[in-house]
Amino acid sequence: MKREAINMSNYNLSLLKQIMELEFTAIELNLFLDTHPDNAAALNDINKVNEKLITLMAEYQKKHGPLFAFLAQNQQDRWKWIDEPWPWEITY
Amino acid sequence: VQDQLPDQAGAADCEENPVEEIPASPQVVDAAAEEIRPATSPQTGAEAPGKSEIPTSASTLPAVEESRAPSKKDGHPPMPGYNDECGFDYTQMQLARAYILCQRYGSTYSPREALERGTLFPDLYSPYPY
Repeated sequence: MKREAINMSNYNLSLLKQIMELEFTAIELNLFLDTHPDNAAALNDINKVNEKLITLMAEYQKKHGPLFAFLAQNQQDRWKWIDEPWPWEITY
Repeated sequence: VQDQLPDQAGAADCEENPVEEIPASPQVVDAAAEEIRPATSPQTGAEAPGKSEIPTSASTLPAVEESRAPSKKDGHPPMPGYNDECGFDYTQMQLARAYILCQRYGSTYSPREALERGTLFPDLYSPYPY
């Protein structure tokens, strides 16, 4: 039940920021493609962004913990999601 | 067209005889006549044939709507910055309705700058280029 205090110095914040930036870019391209589903340039860009984003998210989650509660994998002895910092605990 | 906008004579014409400003369309006249007839004429209102006109009137409604849409030959100015990537016919725009332009895929900010500005697209960052 106990949740340990978060020591943010253990976290790779520059990696987390890079993930947030790429996530936003992916969402923007997602929205553009919703109305332009055949746009080759946008498709090319979102493929590159998603590939990099998936790589960086895997790297972050391997080093720290799950970025999302939903779809979190390998949760054997403890629900690791709860050990991750809440947004207001992170000082960027 | 823009030369006509401040023209008071043209505005007066519009108020005096609005019916004639609408492009002459037999469908519009027929539909209006059929809608009025059952209400004003006691003959058709009381008789069975009056009811049969209701579906006829309803079936002409789309044609009326279509005939009222502005077209290039009506002299409406084109939407600024429009493009046909989305296949939208901007000549069918109507007054008093809101429209959103089809966005072009132009340059993009870097992911960092996009997150800071709240948009990936310089085209959507005020002041807007088009």
